[in-house]
Amino acid sequence: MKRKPGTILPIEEAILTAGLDLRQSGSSEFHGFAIARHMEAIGEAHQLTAHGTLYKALGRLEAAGLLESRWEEAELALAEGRPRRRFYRVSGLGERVLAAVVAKRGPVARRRHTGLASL
Amino acid sequence: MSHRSLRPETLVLHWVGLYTLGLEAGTRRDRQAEISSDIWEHRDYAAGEGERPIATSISILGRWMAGVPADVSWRASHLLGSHNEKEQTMAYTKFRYWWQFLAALTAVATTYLGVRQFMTDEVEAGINAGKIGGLVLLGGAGLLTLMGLAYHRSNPRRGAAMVVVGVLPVALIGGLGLGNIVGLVSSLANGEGWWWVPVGIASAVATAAGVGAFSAWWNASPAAAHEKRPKVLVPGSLLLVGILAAGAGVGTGLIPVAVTGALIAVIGLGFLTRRVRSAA
Repeated sequence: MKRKPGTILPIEEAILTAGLDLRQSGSSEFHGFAIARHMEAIGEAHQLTAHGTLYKALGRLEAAGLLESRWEEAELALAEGRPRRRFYRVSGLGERVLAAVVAKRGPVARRRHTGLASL
Repeated sequence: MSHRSLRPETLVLHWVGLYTLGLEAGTRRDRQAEISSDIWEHRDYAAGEGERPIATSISILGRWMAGVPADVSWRASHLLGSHNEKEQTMAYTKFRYWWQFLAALTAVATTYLGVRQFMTDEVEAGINAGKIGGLVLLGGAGLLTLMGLAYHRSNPRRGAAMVVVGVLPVALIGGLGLGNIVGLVSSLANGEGWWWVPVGIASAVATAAGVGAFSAWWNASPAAAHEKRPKVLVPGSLLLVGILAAGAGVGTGLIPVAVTGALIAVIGLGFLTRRVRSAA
């Protein structure tokens, strides 16, 4: 099965949707576990997404330019006594691609995404 | 061995170390650091929510196991040099049905084993409760797997769950991998030859299919649950009863029973295929 240009996989759509939803609630950046938790919270996943599935999808999205990432300062993580976080944010391209996918799918999907934004 | 080393974190991080072995140092370091951070955040968040540590451990193990197929394909894509997004996605879509293929093989093997042990007199002559139980268990497991595969198209989560349960008997024969090694060593040590090899291969195939189906169940998109679902209970039951009756008829030499059973199975299969197709 070939992937049509301009389409994204369900998990990629879920990540972008959750990422934009987090941005609307004031968190422009998110780490892997945070996005997995938020996807579960807003009904984009039945449960916390599996490690392999999540990080592979994050990698694909970043490679496609739909997400951007950075590692946090080691000193900060050290001060808080935890491993370093890798932060992601939805890029402008990611936002546009998601909007195009949702628009293409029709009114039902648009309602679903509009509802998410208001959470 | 300390209590800490038994935590699922240790297993997961060892697994990450294994599948990133030999990859570029930066890629390896990033993946290890990211998973390590994820597990720490998971444990920290769950503790803050008052979740019992055992529940968190089970959740971490579930996330690990459900992600194993993606880890393996991620490694394969790095080894093959397909670092770009397009190639990785092509690989994802092309090979996403691998576990369904293995599950179909397992279903056939399971049903065959069930019917064979019922009909053969190599171990015990005649029909007895054990043979009937074996036929019901293995035949039922094989059919459950096939029904799960058919159902997966319209309801990925429920279909994958049926496959996980269906492949379990054959996967358990090999003790989920470990038993295969023990079985092979023991058969060789007792001078029984390599008879365990086909059993071990079947079990390994069933285990791989089970892990793939578990991953599909775990990661299924909730949006897919709203799709149209076929009603497979009645045709599936007809198929199951028909095959069992046909097997029993052949085993006992009652040809009319075997023929009637085969007819019921064909009718059930026809209905099942039609309903799955119309829902798809």
